[in-house]
Amino acid sequence: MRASALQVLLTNSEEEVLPLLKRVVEAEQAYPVLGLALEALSFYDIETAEKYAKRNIEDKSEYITNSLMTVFAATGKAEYLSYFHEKLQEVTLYQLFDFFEKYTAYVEMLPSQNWEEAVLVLSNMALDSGEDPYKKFFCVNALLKLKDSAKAKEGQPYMILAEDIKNKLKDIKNSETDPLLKMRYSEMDIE
Amino acid sequence: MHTFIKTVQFFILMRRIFISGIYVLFSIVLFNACTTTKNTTTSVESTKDFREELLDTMVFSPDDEQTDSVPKIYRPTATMRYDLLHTKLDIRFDWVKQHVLGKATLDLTPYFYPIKEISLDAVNFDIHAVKLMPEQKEMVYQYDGEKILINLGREYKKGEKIQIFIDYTAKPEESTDKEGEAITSDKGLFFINPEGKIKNKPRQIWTQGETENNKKWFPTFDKPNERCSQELWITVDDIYTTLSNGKLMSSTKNADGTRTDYWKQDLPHAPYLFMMAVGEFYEEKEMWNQLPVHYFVEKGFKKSAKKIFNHTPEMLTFFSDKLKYPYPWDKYAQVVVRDFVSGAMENTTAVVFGEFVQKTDRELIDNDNDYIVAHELMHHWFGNLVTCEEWTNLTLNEGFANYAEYLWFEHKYGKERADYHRLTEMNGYFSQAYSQGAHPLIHYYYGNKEDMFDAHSYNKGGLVLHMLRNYTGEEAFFASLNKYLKDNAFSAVEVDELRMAFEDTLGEDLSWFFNQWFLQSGHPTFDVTYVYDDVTQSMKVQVSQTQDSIQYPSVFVMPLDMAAYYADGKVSNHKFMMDQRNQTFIIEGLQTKPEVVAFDGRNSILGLINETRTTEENIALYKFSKNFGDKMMALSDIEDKSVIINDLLSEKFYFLRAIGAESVTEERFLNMPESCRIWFCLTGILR
Repeated sequence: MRASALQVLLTNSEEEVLPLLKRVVEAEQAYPVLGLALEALSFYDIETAEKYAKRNIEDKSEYITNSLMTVFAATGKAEYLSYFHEKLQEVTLYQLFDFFEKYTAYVEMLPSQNWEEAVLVLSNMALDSGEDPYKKFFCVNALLKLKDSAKAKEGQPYMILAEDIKNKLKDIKNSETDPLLKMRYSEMDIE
Repeated sequence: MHTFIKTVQFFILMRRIFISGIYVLFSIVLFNACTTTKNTTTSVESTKDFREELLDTMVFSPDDEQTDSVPKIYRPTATMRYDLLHTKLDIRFDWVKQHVLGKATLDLTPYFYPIKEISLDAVNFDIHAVKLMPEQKEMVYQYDGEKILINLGREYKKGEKIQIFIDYTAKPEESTDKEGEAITSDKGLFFINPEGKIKNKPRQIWTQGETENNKKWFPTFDKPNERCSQELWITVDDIYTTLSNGKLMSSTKNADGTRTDYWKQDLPHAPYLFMMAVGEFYEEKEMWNQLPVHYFVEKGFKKSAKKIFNHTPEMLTFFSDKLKYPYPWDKYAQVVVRDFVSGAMENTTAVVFGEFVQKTDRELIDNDNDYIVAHELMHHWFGNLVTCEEWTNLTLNEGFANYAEYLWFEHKYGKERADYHRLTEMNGYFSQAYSQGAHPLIHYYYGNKEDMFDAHSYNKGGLVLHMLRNYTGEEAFFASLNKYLKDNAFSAVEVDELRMAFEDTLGEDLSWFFNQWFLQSGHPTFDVTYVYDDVTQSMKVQVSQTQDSIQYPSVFVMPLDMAAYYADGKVSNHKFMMDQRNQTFIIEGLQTKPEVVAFDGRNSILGLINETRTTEENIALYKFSKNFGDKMMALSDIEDKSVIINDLLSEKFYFLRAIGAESVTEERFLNMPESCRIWFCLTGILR
């Protein structure tokens, strides 16, 4: 209920909203309220939001992870890539959509050398035969999205990246043994 | 079709509870290869609050194997040639091989007819010895990997005691199904991280007997209509805690660094309820009415142990009082284990939960475990004390356990909270009925016994009990349940025993109710129109039952309790009995025209109801009805909520206030600067 009420207050002017959000992120215990406040604060004042998000970075709760990722992604700083990769290992089925949407949007904001790291992590996970098939499927989708984004960008590094991702996707497709995933991959446009 | 679409719209309003199962969702995504994530993101959001409502061993089948592909076979209750009286087990483990090293001593007696041999369920065992006790005479036996057929050497008559000793090694990890595929969820006993090689994962052993899987770690007659008392000696390394049914009688340290815990349960229960858990747990202890109430969690959750199982003592009091039948067992323990194959399991006095219930205090603020704690506790009367005699009658366990959630919410948090839960349950049932087809609650023709763990046995079972409670009245309902428990304590039942308990209590034939709701499929659909006659000051209510009359009963006999709401806030109730497919009812003697009439005035019917209303009538229904379901139905049709916003924001129940707040947000959102609107939409902060 308090999260719904906070949503109402978010429609007020920035002058009214900002002090409220700062108060909430300072003391709030309930994750839905804290998470909403952190995400909204990142819109108005990313530095303060980042400060409070970092304060919660050790919190392993899945109830706050999504909001922390929103804030870290909004900073556009490459230093949080390792946080995302740590969460990639832990992310549960329930969180896959949110996680990958935020993750790919975040990687797209980073310089090309950070993309390489992300592509490596995603492809390794997609190639891991012991990995959860849903997670593998999402990794491949993310790689596809990054490949298309790289193609759309200008510059030699991105051209190389796009080619690299394409090759990795071919490897993943060829080495997959799960029949359902094989079928799904065969329908994907890797080129 | 209209009815279904309207129902869907209604449930979309309740978006937090719309999706019936995360597995359904992911299957749709993966199988349909929906690679655009925007729309589906909303669906995932909507599942978050609902995902943990997958209780017990509830199964979501990707398709309906039971109706079309499998021939209809009548599922009889198991024949009892003997009665198992007592089971003694002495258990050790080989963690590396994932074997159970067991010695079982079983006391039994012929059930009625004399017997010369007995057949015991024991899957994938190495049998080392079978002896007749106390003389320790080696027995002749045959073993086919699933059953041990023991020649008793002579005929035994009813009343004669037989004691059998079996020395065995059980290999649950090596179990395979009939096609030779490795069984992952039906192993009966599970070793978690047995060699300790997985980082940050505890070593544990736990069991899951339901439906008939305890035969994979001890020899027994693994059917729900059997019951016996038990003693269990578990030997483990001294660092581990053990848990089993009944009381911990002793704990003895051995010279080799191991410890043997001796557990004993004097009261008999079904073999599928036997349990064992081994691990490094933190144990929190409470007392309730001189009975131990213990909670076992991982040590990292020590601080939250009590809150994870919040209100357990209060629930013990509540259900004991409500049923006028004191909690019948000698302790109550709850344990959280890793990688549990189900949501939770009601093993007698030692309930196992999946790790999803294990949360920190902060996480518990918005996501408590009340519903599942109540559910498993209620099984200690319905399921463990009185047990369905075959899985065909599973709803006699699960329907009551599901209804316990409603009863607890009603008692603890108020009727609106309970009715909110009722709507989620109804949604779950409709989802299954429309996607996979309906089957009778008492389902003598199921394809696979695991299929019985569905939204019929659980959701519909609870919803039907709610209707029965509304029909009989509060006092009669619980008096009937009390009789049912007393008459059938420590025995196996089928639905007729429930019916007879009600009939004996009420002095009234209830076959019409039980036949249509328990023994036939589906639910009614009502098309309702109202015509007010100014001259006679009466309301004509025309009702048609439009459900499919081939698969479902063409007529559901329905006690109706219509509610008429007036401008001054008054309400009048009008009772009718509907027993025809098309029927007209006249509400006479009205002083003035009602603002609105509700066909299901008590919000108790399990069915789809089409009532066409104007916006004004919907506003009146929202304002005047006290029923949560009416309010939600009205709100789903009121597009401009500004006219009722003050009422909404003053609602006692948070869910309705939140709808009010969200409608304010939506209105204000339109006046926000465009940059804010775009950003808030993109992030999903404002939905």
